[in-house]
Amino acid sequence: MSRINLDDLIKKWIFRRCKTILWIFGLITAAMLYFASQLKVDASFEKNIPLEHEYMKTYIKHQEHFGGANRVLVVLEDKSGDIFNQQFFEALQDATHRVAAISSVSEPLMNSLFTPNTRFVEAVEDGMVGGPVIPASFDGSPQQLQLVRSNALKAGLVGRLVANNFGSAMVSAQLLSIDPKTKQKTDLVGVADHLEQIRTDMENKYDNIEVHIIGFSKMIGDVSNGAKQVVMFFAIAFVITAILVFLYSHSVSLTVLPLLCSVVAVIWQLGLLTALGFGLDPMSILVPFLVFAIGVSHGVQMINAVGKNVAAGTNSSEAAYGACCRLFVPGMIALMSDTIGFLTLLFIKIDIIKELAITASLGVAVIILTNLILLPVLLSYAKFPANFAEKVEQSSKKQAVLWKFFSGFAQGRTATKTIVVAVLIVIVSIFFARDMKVGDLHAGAPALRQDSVYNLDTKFVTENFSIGTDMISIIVETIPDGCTSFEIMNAIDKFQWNLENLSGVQSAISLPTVSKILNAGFYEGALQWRILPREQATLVQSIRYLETSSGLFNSDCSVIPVLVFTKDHKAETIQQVVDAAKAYAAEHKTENVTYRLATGPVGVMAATNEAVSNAQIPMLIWVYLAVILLCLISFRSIRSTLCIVIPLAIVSLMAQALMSILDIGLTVATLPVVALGVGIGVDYGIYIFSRMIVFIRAGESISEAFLKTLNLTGNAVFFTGLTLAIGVSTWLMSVLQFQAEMGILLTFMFLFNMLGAVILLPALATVFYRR
Amino acid sequence: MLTIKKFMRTLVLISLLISTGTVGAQESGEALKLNTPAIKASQRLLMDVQSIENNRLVAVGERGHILLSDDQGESWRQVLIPTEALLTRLFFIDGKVGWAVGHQQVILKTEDAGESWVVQYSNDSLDQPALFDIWFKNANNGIAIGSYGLYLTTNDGGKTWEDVYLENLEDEEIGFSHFYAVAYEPDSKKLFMAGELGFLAVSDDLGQSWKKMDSPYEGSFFDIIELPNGYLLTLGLRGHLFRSKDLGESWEEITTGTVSGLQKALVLPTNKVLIVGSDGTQLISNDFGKSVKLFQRDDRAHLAGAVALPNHEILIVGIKGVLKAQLN
Repeated sequence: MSRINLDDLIKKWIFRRCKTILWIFGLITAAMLYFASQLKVDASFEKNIPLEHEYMKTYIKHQEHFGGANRVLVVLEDKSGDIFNQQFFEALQDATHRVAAISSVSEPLMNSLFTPNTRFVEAVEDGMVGGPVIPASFDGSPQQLQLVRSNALKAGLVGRLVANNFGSAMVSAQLLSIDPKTKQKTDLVGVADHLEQIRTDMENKYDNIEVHIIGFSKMIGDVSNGAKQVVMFFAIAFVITAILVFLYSHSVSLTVLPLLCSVVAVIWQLGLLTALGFGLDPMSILVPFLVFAIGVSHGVQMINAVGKNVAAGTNSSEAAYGACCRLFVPGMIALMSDTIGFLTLLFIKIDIIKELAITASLGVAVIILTNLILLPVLLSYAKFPANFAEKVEQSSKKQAVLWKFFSGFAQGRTATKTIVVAVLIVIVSIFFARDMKVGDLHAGAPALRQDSVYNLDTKFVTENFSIGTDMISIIVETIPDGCTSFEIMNAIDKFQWNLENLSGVQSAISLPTVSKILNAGFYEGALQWRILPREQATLVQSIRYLETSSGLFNSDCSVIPVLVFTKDHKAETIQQVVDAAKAYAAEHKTENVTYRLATGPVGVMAATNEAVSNAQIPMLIWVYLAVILLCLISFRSIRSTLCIVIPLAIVSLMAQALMSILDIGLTVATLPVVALGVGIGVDYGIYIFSRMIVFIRAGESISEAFLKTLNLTGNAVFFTGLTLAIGVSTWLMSVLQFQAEMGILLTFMFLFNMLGAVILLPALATVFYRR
Repeated sequence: MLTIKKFMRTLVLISLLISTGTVGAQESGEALKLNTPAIKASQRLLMDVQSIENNRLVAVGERGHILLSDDQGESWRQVLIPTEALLTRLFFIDGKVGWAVGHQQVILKTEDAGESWVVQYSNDSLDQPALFDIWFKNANNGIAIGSYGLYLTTNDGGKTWEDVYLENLEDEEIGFSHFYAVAYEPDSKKLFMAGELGFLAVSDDLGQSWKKMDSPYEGSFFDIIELPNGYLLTLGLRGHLFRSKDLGESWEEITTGTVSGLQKALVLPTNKVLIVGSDGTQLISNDFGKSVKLFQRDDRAHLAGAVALPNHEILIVGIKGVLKAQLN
């Protein structure tokens, strides 16, 4: 398609139909506004995990029997440091009832001192006695409290339901993924609100009680609440951007119109989400920012061109037409590369990232319409103040000094020096980037800040109890009634012991562990008898009184999980356990015993880490392939493509180095950042090079061509980098750790891609286009 | 391969039959697999600990763990032995030579202060066959006792063991009790056994023959020891502790203030008596068992054994492995 034809088409289809276009946009925006108002927050657990991963297939297969990773722990702490008082037990009973009342809590899988499944067994002179840890006649008297204390010890609850220091006690509940009452997916945020209400009520009702709550759904609730702050960041970003655009454009119209178009794009994007049946989750809530920032930054290119035309003396309509013709192709390419950059995220088999890919690429696709069609049309109606041309003239003169400086990078010796510096940066970056870690690098919930209530609660629980939520469960699949075979039980016990000896493992429990304890129970608690019985009848006897609700075996005893409690969920810890389990399983595989990784919260993290680290390379390949292909198509030159892509690649590498320096792991949240950064970062190069190549092909020297380009588009490029960076840097204030991390990385990538385009790109051009 | 294995097994069986219940070390050792070093062994169930020459500590416990420490329990290293059975007790005749016993009737001997061990005996033929204590009069003559009246004797330092059926100790109704512990009183040269369901027995001929004693308690005894003044203490289920001043003729019950099971007693170098048991129970007696003072550990760990260190500290072993005593 030749330039003449395209210009004609733009005239015919856009500028002769201004009114129609405005009506169409107005109507669609109204409809989208309606849809956007229906938007729901959607943070289901399954969305965050790589469902196609081998481990997650195990997870889904056995979820029903053993519960998944979705457990909540409500811990009541007595501020006096001792739980054995009447008020505490009232509070604990109250809390147990209130947790049980949450409709998605599975009551049989619930544990607290007050649940009926909390029993003890003890040997006496003439046999065994047992019963509930809290007797039916419990009245809170000191004698009864003493009895409960000793029963709790006999039942081995210390460290599990009662804190090691007897200063707190726990209600542990398993959440069903389908709420039996509503038959809908469990509303995790709703559960979290419910739990928060229990916390408030308990702490108000009982003066000596402090409540600590942890578990995935509580974390999601806190994340969702944190994500709501995003609205405020949006307002801040909007105001700062508006002020900057006005300072840049010297015109109210030129300020209002691109902002308006970008807001329209955001409304469309949010409306389309609802129309397509998606909800907003804590991660995709950031997409509107990106859409807004990208909209404004591309809008700036448009108002820059229009402003220059108007200053040169044309009227608004002609100026808008001219700008549109010139920017249509580079604008389209830049936005398409953004879209494709986002779409490459579809290759990652984690739903939350897929949704991010879809919502972000939709948003950018919408910008193609609002910025390349709506904005020029609106600009053709713009009114400019009488002294507009004068002001533009003045600021151009001021900027000219700056452009002169930057054009230096396109001159022989400086260009060479620049490239040498770039090579050094590459070497240093590779050095640091090698240390980049996969997964969450900090204890507690990585989505939240270290000092958040949730993470302080997590710390409390791990410090006071022997169990936490950092648990990976390896499922042993065997033959029916496998638990009555000594060979099989012994194999499981050895497997467990093998894992227990890892430095990252705190403790482990499985059916053989319990069988040993109960066997000693049958011999009057004598420690001499803490063995796995070799004789089948004795083995069966040892586990006869266990119920499947213990979560240690399924109904026909063919599936026996080994629950491994890790000291934290840092990536190395998880890797250690996973590697050891895999190595052992490979070495000791028998016909009747299969070790399957893995469920439990840490099992999910292991799968996510593997999915993320496996996705990284393909994602980079796809996003670069897309960018390279687009550059090749639009410039039909390998040299041009190299000039644009090399700075991008260096910045990607620097971002990885930055991640390892700042202790940011590659996670579900930070993985997409690279694709976003590259997709958006290429814009600068495209805008600059599309101008520069014209001058180069006209025979001008590189530095001349670059200087002319900067005069025309330089301030727009700088400004683009600035607006994008401002939009995402507000995330740094987020209470959510992952939003802050995304904010740091994106701000870094946007700014450095901009610098790469004005410093390294001309230097490379000097080398590649040497005559 | 399979046929060779089968042939070997048959050989072992035949040798079992012709040696009339005596099994040599070499035959049975082969069937057992070498276990693996485990860094957390010192934090898991340990049943007994002893101090031998050069202040070396030896501890035994679950999964065939034998651990040595040459720094008063600060660090432990595992000695690899060819069994994974739970080891229950240790006995050293001097600073170098000793035995360990455990489940599957395993008897291990060391002659180099615990550095290496050989399996002298092992027999997995019975239901839950286990040895719970071992005692040697001298380097050659010894006995090992265990579950369901299991009673082994040797006259050659453990090279061969004879399985002896102590008919007169069998109860008409309930059969044999588990024999949990043996104690030797040197002045009277009497040997005592204590066990399940109030079982107490005495031997005047170093274990050649036994006779049952009247018991002050119907619950199980897990240990019996002699004190330096010739008194006996026996202890067991639900905090029960008894003392005899007359070599078991009569017993007086000692109030312990606990209902937790008592597992083991030992005399400390200061002539104090320490008793350990379930739920972090630690009892100390300063008056040869006339009275005891209860110290319950904060961790409520089940305890199985203890040893006095040269620095007067006391090291305890049990369900959580090696612990320092809490006696304040």
